[in-house]
Amino acid sequence: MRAFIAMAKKEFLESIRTYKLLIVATVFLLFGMLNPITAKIMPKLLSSFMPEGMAITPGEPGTVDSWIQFYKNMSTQLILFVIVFSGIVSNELTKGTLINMLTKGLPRKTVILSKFTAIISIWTLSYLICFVITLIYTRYLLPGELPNLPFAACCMWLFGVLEISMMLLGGALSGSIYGSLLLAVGFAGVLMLANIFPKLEEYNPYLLSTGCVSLLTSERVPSDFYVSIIVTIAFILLIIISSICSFNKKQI
Amino acid sequence: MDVLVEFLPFLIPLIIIEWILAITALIHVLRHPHYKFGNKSFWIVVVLFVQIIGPIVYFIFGRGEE
Repeated sequence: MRAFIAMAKKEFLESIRTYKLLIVATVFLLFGMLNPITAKIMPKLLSSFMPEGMAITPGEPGTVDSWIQFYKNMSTQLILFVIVFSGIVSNELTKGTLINMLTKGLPRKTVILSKFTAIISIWTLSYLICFVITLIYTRYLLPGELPNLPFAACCMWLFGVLEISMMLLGGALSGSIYGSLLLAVGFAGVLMLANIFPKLEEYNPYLLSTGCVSLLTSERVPSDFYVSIIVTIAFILLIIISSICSFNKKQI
Repeated sequence: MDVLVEFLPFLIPLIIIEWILAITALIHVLRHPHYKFGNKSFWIVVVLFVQIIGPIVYFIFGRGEE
């Protein structure tokens, strides 16, 4: 347990000193502010850029527009997050900084678990920053009540956890940054393709990222997501176990 | 122009954050003159004139190893 806490602490320190935490936090903060502003300003911009005589009357922006922006931008932010942290396993493997600690008796599973804990805490923190800032700005700029707001946010968060753990598995399997990126992107691609089949939609973790807006507009109810959430959690556990297994066999 | 004035209170924090990011990156560029590619003047221009994206690109791709 002491080794685990020490390693997790080291991960946090590393993310601060390599400016990764700064980048992620500022980008999430910026997007958090931009979401409601874009939603509010977009109809005005559209009508002011329209050429003379062309009449288009965009509807008055509502609370839901701000959250549509939030979920649309969150997938971009997730990609950025994965790119920034893609080297978390492979950098240590290529630099050989883990050898000393592993030969002194640090269990290999501690390495993976502490990295996972650290990266998920950073993801949660930055997601929370973005969510709270969007919430405050939306309350002020586009006031209104929406159903299932915290639940929808949790769905997107869980999808992020799935992608991040996939990235970790990629690092443990291939030992290179490209492996992590490829696996995370490829996995998202597979989920997207599986979404073509309507029968699979209910079980697909991809629903967690695309279905958030329909929760807010009451097209779907939270119980539609339960199966997908269970599948996602099962996937995450499976991914963690397999990354520990593959890291155990890895030559360092 | 009216739209701009109306949203000025919301744009100011955005601009402050942009500049915090740019200045942090600028200090790093000046203090650590080793980059994965490019040279000092190139990174100063990128960091200062490509807002938001410039500093991020510098910290992810351009920052050299110690």
